[in-house]
Amino acid sequence: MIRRRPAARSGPSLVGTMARTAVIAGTATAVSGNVAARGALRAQAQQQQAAAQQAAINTQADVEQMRQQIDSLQAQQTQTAAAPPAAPAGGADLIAQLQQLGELRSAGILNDAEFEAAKARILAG
Amino acid sequence: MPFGPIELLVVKFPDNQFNGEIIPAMQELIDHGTIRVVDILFVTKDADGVVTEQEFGDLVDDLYTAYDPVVDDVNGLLTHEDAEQLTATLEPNSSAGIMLFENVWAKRFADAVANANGEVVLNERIPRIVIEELVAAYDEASA
Repeated sequence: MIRRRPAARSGPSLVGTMARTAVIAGTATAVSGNVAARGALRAQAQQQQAAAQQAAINTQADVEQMRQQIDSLQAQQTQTAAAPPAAPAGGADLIAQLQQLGELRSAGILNDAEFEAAKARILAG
Repeated sequence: MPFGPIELLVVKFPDNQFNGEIIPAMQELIDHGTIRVVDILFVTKDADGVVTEQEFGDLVDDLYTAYDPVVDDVNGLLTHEDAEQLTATLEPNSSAGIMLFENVWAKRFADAVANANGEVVLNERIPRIVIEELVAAYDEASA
């Protein structure tokens, strides 16, 4: 039997691309904790649908969960920054991350202290 | 767009064995024109947490033969980086199948809409947490 094998699997990361575009954030949410954190956060920051956002973070438990996701996101960002094949568009990513943080603060997900801490971490790269 | 919507699925199993027991369920979805598998990758994590990727083409004979009818394509869109990231939270002595499948039904539906001069303007998967919130609010209101 002739066995079917794929090409090198060396293209751009599917998960990374998903996280960047957030087009399929819903799918990402269902898949893994880390991916979910990235997808959900980004989707919420970008959609700016205050009503839907409010529904998603209404209870104290949900807010706590969001905080954990943020922590995980930050850990991941730190990890990504430290990885040897660094993203080519580092500057653009940085700005996007900072904008995202700002939106999280505006939405009341991050308080000022958390915002400053996260910002410092992003800038420290 | 040549594809219908593509979904990413990671299925976790205990132990480091793929036995093909989910194949009949997949076969049914394929026979009904619901999905089409476009990429698949198998990952195992041993007792020490060491991760090993296994290509569809490297499965043992029995398993390859079992999966062969349900795997339409192995397009390689899933990367090694994806496999690593998606299985990072897998516990030792477990395994996972990572799969990309096309929602064939959605493409058929979109084609039907287009034929009727309609246009799909939004097709979004609603996060579960949102539905739970809405159902809870509904139950509260009607209690």
